[in-house]
Amino acid sequence: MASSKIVVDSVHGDIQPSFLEWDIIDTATFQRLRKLKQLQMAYLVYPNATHTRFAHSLGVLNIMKRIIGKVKESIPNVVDQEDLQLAALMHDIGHYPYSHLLEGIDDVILTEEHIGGGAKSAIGSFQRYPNHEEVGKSIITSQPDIQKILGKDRAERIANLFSGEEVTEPELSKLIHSSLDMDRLDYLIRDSQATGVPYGMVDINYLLNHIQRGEGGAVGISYKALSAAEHLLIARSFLFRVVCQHKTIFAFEETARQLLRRLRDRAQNGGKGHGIPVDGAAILDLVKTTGLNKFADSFLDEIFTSAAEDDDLIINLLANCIISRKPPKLLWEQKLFVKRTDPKTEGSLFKERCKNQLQVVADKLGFDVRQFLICDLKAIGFEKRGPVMSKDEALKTLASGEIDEMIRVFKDKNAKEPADIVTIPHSILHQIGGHEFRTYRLYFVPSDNDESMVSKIQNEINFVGA
Amino acid sequence: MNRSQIALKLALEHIGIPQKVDTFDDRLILQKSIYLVQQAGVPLGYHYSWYIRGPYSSALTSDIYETWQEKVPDGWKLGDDVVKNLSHVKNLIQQATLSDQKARTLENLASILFIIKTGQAAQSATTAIKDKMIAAGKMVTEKQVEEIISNLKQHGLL
Repeated sequence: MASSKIVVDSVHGDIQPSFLEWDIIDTATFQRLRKLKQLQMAYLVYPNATHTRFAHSLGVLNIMKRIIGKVKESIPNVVDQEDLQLAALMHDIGHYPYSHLLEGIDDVILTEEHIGGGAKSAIGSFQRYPNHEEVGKSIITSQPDIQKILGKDRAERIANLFSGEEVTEPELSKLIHSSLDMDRLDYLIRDSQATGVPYGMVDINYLLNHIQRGEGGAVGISYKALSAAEHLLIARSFLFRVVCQHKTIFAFEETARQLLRRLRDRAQNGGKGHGIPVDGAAILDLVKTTGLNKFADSFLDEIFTSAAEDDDLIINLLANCIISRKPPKLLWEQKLFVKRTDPKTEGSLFKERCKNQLQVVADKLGFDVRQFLICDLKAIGFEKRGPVMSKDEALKTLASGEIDEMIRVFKDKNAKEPADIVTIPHSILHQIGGHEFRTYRLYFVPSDNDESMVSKIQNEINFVGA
Repeated sequence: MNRSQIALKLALEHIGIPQKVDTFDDRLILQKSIYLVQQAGVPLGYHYSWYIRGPYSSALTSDIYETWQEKVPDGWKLGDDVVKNLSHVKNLIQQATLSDQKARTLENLASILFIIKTGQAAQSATTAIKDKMIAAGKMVTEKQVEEIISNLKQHGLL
């Protein structure tokens, strides 16, 4: 039942949660999301990008309410509707400080590992950090304030919905996890507004007004909204390139990832970690306690501040780079727009040249090779596949269910089921759906603002990627 | 390759599952084997969601695709704890891969374990598990569910 209390949101206007949703919103567990910035370190470049996971979560709730309003005759069970809305509201409840920053440190490759050095230890003594859905599940099935409202079974079902683990009704989960998901619909607009970068301003009203369900239950959009759907997919790739992979934002975030990975490794070896959880098990233990409330952006800020006084040269340098807002210098960059199936020749060449030459350059100019940051950025695509699935494409598609997560469009007014957008011949996605942007970068973290060192290095490494 | 990808390749090598991606069944075997490996206490860190053919990790797909032609750099090995945990599940997976329908056998093992581990049915509720499997398009009898649970218990996964 809707409460009379409303939230006025800069993206969606009035949002009216139900009494049950307000109960969740008012818990300390949910309020933690006010202390997590949505766009990690983007505020270091776009000063207004300080909006939070809290506001985003309310926006996602609002979108889910609108989607359910469109397809509720095919979700007749009121509890299902309520649970979907709660899953939308709580889908980010497990986010780490600085959102994806800390979550991804197990995937970081340190400079010395890139060039063939670094410690090679036995694998598996420590658990890697779990993803935020798993953390979220742990939170809502253990935190007493959420448990008191939902009970264990319902909390578990809601967690299964937002983590894509629901077995018998996967179509419900797909409302949360798909290319046309409400998460994306909210963050594109919210991030655009906050940064001032307009590329994410999708036509949300037109899209939501043209959602329909096929006879078999699949959700798609009307053929009338094809352009709006194309715009959504292209807008996402633009926003990722311009904001998430902005040269300075990415540099700060990579600096933070490398710093945190080094601290975590050191803590695992019994050294000083400045408070970083030693592994995934420690994270899951932490979020079950009252310590969860402190697991916010300030948790990492304190680590950065403390590490800025560390005795280790590189740890000290990386931490100071962040807290003093002295961005690493971009020495070299290569951008490609290619088919997803094209071999990553340029990337291999770049890494090979780094491996062969960076140590030599560092020795010659007298600095630590770990001051280089070798970056193979995550490729940015448009859809999960192109119009024709080649063998290589199929390698990336181990589950037929994943295909169902693409945006589906009813080809014409007589279509009974929606089709993947990339299969519509007159769609732009038919042409570019199988392409992606690839970016390779080499940064340098100076020990001070020694511009002459940067130019000296550039003279030495101008072979990279040539 | 990052450390997660190295761990994945070493784990696959240890349990004797080739990183083959030629057929749908090859890929399904990889997915379900790694799910079972993780449930045996090997922290590879792949999040599994539910898809038509049971538990599935898109991050694992990406890693397999990225690394299937690469070799593990020298110097890396699995820790003793990992090797010990892998031994629990190695026999189970090898036993499954000897059956006529190895992909289907692994799919059923992984799917039933997923249903139980995500709290969607208790391991004692075999009728509910069978019903969920059928609702998800997997034709199993209650007797088969009981046998699979017994097998999972025997190998320390339940």
